Amino acid sequence: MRTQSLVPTLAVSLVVAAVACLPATAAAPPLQPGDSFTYENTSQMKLSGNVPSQVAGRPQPAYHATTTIAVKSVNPDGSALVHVVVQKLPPEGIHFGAAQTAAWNQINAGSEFDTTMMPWRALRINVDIEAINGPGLSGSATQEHDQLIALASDPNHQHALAANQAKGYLSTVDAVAEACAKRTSFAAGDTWHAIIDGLPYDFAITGRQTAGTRDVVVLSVAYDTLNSGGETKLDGTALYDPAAQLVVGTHTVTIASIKANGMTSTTTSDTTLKE
Amino acid sequence: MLAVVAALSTLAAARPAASQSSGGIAFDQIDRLLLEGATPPPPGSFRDDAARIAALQPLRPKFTTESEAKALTATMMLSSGLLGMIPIAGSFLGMAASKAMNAAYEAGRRKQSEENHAALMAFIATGTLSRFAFYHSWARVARAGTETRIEKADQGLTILLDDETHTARSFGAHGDTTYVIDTEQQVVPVLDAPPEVTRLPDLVIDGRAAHGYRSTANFTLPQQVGWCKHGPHRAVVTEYVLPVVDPEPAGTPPPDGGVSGICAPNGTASIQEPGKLVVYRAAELDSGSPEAFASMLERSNVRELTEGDAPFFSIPPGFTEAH
Repeated sequence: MRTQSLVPTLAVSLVVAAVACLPATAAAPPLQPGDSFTYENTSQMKLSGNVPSQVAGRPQPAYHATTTIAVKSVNPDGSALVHVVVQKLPPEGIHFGAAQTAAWNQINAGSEFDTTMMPWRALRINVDIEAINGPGLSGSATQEHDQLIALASDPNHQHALAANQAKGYLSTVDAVAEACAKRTSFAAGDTWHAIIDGLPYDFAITGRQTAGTRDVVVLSVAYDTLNSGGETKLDGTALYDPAAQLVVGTHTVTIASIKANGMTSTTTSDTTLKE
Repeated sequence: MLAVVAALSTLAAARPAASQSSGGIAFDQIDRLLLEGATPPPPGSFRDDAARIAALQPLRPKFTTESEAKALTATMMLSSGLLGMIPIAGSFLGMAASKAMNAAYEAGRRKQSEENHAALMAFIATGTLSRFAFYHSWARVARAGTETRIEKADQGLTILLDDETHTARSFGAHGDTTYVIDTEQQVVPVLDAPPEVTRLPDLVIDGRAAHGYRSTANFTLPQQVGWCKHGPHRAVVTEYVLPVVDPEPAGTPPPDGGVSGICAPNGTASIQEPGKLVVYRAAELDSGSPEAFASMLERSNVRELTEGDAPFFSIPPGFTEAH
């Protein structure tokens, strides 16, 4: 299922724009075995700057993915051991024949892993880079091909790859969940900062609306990191249910530019909780 | 060895807030990563190492294809940025660097770009020079000729100065709350035994008497941490400390005595004399093995700051503020 951008959603269904003060956040209901959360993600990238004219400024095929999080057991501190399944659909607009479909399904095989979900519904994902990279290739072209096949079939590699992908798909969802968990109230106009794993996020409450049966606050989310190599800038919005401590959706635009080669990528990403 | 380079990705050190001491302190710092069995220089080598950095020619790699050029250029920028940004680097940048590095390495390997590889290794091994200054809750870090970052924690303000374009950018609304959140789970190394600590003879470094220590430990990692693969490792950490207050003291001492910090540096605080300033640290991993490497920290020009240095933490004259 294709997700919708939050931008039109906000424009249509923004119910209360000026919220003087919202009640303090109630503690979210504790996680229970069997709880499940499914996020659908759509991402699309454009390249510009010093890139071949054939791709400059043109949207690349959109990618769709679904990430399902199922609570397996709950720890004494309220966090939970969860099983995460990442399902990627073929790129939009590209026709897959039987062989390609089989190959795509092969790539998707094993896209699952276990990790921890905090009581405030943020995933804590460790990515095993060593398992992703594998031992490296050596020998003839045939031998390298066989080594690549073996790596792709290695469950540790598959699980690490899935963890890396889930971390990417849910990066803004988890950042919002982490940052909102620090707050005790959500009032329109509130602004705060959170340095999350080194990234300097800015958050602001811009309003409140209904999303399905949920009463959610609307946040702006942004960060801008500069270094000698270039700049990465993210701007977006998020819908957050304070009572359930749950992120309902995010819409982000990330612009990454590298000074050295003049390349810029613009990635638009929408993530929606499926209910 | 290239796995080590790729694993630079997880170099994501959190810098604690500057101390609230009455005065301030400034020093220059060299960060280096020694690969392929290179031996760390002895304490007191700062001036020679700084001269080597100053004389370093910009990377001018030879490329076979345009895509290879782009990948390697990005890699070099990111790797130099990582080394220079050790105290303030973020993991996101690191992940980007990892991907670029892997892509660059694969491209380079397949195109037999050994010259580029050697140049990159030399560049990393030479290291970067940064100038740090701390005054009350303010901090300033400058990488010569590139970028300066000023943080004023009491104002929630970060200022970035681009030394090439002479522009300044300010971030952070005044008075807003800032939360620091680390979500990356710590992998706990399993020590064979408590680290063995040997007191070394005092040395005069930069005109001051420094206390020396050498810690040795064998440990096992259940999974890759930073640039250390899973499995058994041996670490030797040599540290010299000045009787000067460290503006970035550690919080809780790590349970492993800090020996596994070589894998993913998370600060520069002294392990042996908490609260005192480290002026030399050489952390060697698996010496003598093909996977051996070492990370280096050297400091010099340690000096106290006074009230008259406060303007040093503002946008300097001649810079234009960009919005």
